[in-house]
Amino acid sequence: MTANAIKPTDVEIMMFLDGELEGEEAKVVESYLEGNEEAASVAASIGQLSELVRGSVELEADAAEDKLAGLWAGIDSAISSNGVSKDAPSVTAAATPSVAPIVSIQAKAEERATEALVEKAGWFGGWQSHVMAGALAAAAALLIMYTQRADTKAPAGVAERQNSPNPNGQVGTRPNQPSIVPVVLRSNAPEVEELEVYDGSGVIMTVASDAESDDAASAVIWISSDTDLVADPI
Amino acid sequence: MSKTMQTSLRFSPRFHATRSNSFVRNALSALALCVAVAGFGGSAMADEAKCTVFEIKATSGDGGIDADLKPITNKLKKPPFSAWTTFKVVKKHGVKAVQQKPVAVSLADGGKLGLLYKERSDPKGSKPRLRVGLTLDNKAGKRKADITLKVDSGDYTLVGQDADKDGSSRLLAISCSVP
Repeated sequence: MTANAIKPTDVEIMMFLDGELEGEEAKVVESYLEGNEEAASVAASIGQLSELVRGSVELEADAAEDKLAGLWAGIDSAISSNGVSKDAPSVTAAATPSVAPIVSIQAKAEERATEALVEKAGWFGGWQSHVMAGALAAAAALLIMYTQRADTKAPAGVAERQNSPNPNGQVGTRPNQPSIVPVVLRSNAPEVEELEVYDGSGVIMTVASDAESDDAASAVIWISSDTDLVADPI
Repeated sequence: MSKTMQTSLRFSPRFHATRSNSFVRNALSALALCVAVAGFGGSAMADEAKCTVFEIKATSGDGGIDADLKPITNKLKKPPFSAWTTFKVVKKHGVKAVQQKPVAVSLADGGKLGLLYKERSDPKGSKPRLRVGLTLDNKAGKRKADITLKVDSGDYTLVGQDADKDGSSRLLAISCSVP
């Protein structure tokens, strides 16, 4: 279309009314409508028709929200199963029978489904490795702590809990109840590996453990000084 | 790139391969970090001993044995300590000994006790065994004795000396414990 064109087509008028024309083309249509009452009347009618269609479509879209609730549930289910579930309805299949046969609504539904899918799958896809790595690390830490704790010997006299039911399989009146069996770690005599006494002599003794008590044997190192003990104590 | 294209890329086999590699790398890194932290934490715990040092004055008389000396009361009634009847705690020291780091304990008589927790072993069915080094210096800083011994965790080692002219003696009772 050029500036010399006298009458724009109906399509061009509709495009102008929809704001799809720019620059020179828009000016030509605008000047034609200003100078032609009949054309302006037609344009007004087209505008009213457009409004009517647009309003109808929006009403249908709003009404479809409830109908699409089941569809979103299906999409959520498909996302949680990473898209492999056969039970989850497909977007197109679920949308088609539940909405009015308006192409724009179906397209809108598909777009929203895609957005939801991208949003949820995107989040999980983005954090999946971190979440899994964190879980694995926590499990490894627990395993290491458990094994280290198992290696640590309890001090003497400390009771350890063991699952050792009596021959009848019962402890007291409750069957299979874990019993507490004290585990006493063996004591070993002290060993003096090295003793060096300067300006004197040393004697190593061991005071034996007392059978009546829990005392362990103790090393006794007795130092005798060659110098005056009062003037040169330890 | 449209969202639809992003979605198809995200679920493409190539994308999964990339994510999988990333996951394995992250998991291995986290595991290595975990092992390092746990190992360091565990070794740090095992590398520390709590030691107690009693400075005791042994005299004759009927003063008895201080209640603080209960762990070694029976031993103080046996030779060579049975030569005295009264044992009083002059000073009690609590020492945290880190493995291979010497600790100095200032004694009440001006002397000094050096304590070095050297190593730990855990024989099966037995108490943890500690290898400890002790040094004794007099108040002039002169080395009196150098001792290395192996004892069970929590057991006491007693160090004594000949009696003074007044018949009293100073003793040291040393014990180190590990978890």
